[in-house]
Amino acid sequence: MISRTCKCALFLLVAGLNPLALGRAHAGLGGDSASVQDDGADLHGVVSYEIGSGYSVQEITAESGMRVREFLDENGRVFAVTWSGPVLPDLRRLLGERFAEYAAALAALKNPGLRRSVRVAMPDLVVESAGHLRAYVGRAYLPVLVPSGFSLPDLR
Amino acid sequence: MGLLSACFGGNGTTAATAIKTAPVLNTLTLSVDSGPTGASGAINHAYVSLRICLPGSQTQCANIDHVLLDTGSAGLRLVRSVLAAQSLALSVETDAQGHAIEECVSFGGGQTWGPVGVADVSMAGETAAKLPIQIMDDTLAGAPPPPTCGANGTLIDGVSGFNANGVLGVGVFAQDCGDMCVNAGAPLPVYYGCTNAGVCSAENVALTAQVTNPVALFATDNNGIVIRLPNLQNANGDASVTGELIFGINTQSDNALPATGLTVLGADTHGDFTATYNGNPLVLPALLDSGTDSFAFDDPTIAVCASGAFVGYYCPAVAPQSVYVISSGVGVNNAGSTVNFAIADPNTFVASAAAFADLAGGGGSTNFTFGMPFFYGRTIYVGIDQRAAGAYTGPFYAY
Repeated sequence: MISRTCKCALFLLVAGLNPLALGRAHAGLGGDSASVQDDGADLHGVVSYEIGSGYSVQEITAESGMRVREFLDENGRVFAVTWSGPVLPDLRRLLGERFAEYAAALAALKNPGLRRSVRVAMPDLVVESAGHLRAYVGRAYLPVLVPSGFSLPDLR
Repeated sequence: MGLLSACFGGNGTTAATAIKTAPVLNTLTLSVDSGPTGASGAINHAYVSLRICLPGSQTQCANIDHVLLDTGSAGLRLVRSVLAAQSLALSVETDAQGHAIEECVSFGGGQTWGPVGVADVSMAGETAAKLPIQIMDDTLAGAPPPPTCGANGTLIDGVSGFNANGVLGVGVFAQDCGDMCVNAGAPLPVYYGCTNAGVCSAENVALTAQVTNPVALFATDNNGIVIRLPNLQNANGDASVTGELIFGINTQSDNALPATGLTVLGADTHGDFTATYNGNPLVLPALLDSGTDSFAFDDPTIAVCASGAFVGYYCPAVAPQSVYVISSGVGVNNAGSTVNFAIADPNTFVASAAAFADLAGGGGSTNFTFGMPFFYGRTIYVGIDQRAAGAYTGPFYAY
């Protein structure tokens, strides 16, 4: 039931607009699979979909070069997200309900200023965020939801 | 008559006197210490001082100390309250609609937001005239940040957040964003035009208006920088370390490229070279980053300090732990190079020291960052994109 053409929640992510305002559900960490619908030519993104063993991946690539992957378990829950692109994606949307926990973990870091590569690891949330203008890359996952047998290095 | 001859030359004619221009003073003291007054506690932060003036003025100026040296970014960013404390109010750039240009820049630890001001910035004998700089708006005197910039507490604009009065980005690019912020079909959420009412919209900005690496605007010595730092006297903690930031590569006698023994790592269009860590085949983007306080990478086999002053960094069970990283340049300068380094146990560190040689950790699995520990005891070159430095052309890192 996943549409092949994304009128990109992702573009809205990057542009800072609110996809929810356009009546479109959005998948963040821990959420359900996004329902992506065609809506016109002003969104620039393509969704592709691949299936692994016990999980599936939705990949959204925007014209800017931003690429977001959402990893879903067999129940359709997003257990991980990865990103790479010229700017940092809106992590409030990608991390969903977990953003507050992430922000608190950042604030608790020693010497947070100018960290160019960060890893915060809690039992229920791991976030790695790195890079700089022109090339940001990162990943976040919920350890409890990662399917057994899934290889974490595959989260890219 | 004889004396006059001796003065003017043997045959009585005036010897042609070449007017010799003294080379521009291009060296600046680099100091690793615990940070500015009121925001100390920094570790492995290298600082410089600079002079900033209203454009064209020699009197409406301020001297700013404890500006953090950052080879991982481009552009100067200064905290607004620091400028205000010295009564320096810069004029803000405006776009074609007359809206104030402001900027949001993200890093791992958070985001910084504030308007783009214009100033003359001088360091040593070099001046960057009409330099666009980011004013980090810790007092929110300008427009509030848009929702995507630092919402829910990840905004860092103040001295305490950086342990610095500002950030001097002298990395491999001339502008912080570059072409991708000039004519994107959908403007990236980096530069914004903000109305008087504080409503901000992402927009494209010409290169000349973007926040710019000051070195790129120097009249000379403008192709990159050299950083020289000695080894620590005590690897487990020096109270301070003094070195040099030198402007220009191969432009004066004090910044000549060595004939041998140089490792040159070409950087890609993003400013990264590549690295593999300790035998793991995964290729990671990498950079030499003075703005990072450790070797930052992920090694799940090494224990993480669970508490204490170095919580989050590596606390190897058997210390020091020896590891290595193989770096590879991109493009023409693609020689590989192996760097062996040690990870010490931070629990052995000198409390309240400001410089530590063998500190590692805190990083994610997606990158390898050579932070300040790599800089101690080395001469590091950072060459600016498309500028020639001896036989090389930027962007590159070298050591």
